[in-house]
Amino acid sequence: MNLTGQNAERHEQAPAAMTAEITHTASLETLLAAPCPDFPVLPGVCVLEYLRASAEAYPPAPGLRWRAVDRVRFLGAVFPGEELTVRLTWQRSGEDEWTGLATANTVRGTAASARLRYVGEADR
Amino acid sequence: MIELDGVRQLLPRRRPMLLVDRVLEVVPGERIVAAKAVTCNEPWYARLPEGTPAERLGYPSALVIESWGQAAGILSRLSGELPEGMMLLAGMSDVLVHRTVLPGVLLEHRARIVRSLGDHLIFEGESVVDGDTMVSIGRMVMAFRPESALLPPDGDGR
Repeated sequence: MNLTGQNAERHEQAPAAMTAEITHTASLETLLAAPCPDFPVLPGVCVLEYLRASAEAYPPAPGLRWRAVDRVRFLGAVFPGEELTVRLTWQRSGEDEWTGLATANTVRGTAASARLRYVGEADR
Repeated sequence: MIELDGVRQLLPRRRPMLLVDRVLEVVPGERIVAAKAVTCNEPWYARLPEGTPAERLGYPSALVIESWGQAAGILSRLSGELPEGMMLLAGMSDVLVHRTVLPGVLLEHRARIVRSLGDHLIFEGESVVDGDTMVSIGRMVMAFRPESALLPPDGDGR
């Protein structure tokens, strides 16, 4: 999957929290156009992949590993060529554990929201 | 046992997003066991240099989840009359990524129907390799929606 972040803005709010905003142009590549050629909509897991890639592009600490999707809700469709803005807030949820609260939005509203959990070496 | 031809008839997905190769066992309305072979020739690895060390060829976890969801989708198709409309992934919770899936393994997806609520079906289960759980799905919710609810912005659904 080709995930290219643009216009990324990152600023620390406090030592235990951090926010970032990343804008992607949703691409349904030739490969991914194959699933439903008559109805090209980005599969939900691809939206999840944008959230994951955004989180891992702007981690709150080095060496974190994706551990869990505590929750994800898919609220609207995303179509090829649409701009997808990911808003991400990191919260420390354990000694070596961080939770990324992420939403993916199109001009039509929120497409998905998720809580992604990452752990460092100590929690593996 | 349902081979690939049967899988193709049950799922609308096509290459390379058809991520179930074979159904090993199914009890309609209850549970399914399906297989997905992972190889280094899949398109997700195309952009990586040829000499990328094997341990860095982790199969994307989102696609493990998609593959598991397709097994759940087959189970729903074999479980009697379904609500009308397209089957969509509405949400998930308590999904744990236990281990990295690498090329050369046979993923065994085990999915169970937990509950049916009108136009929603709820599943749980896990993806296993040689007895080790790679990803566990606490809950996956599939919803059935009319295609008109998803029309693109320049379509009639504007």
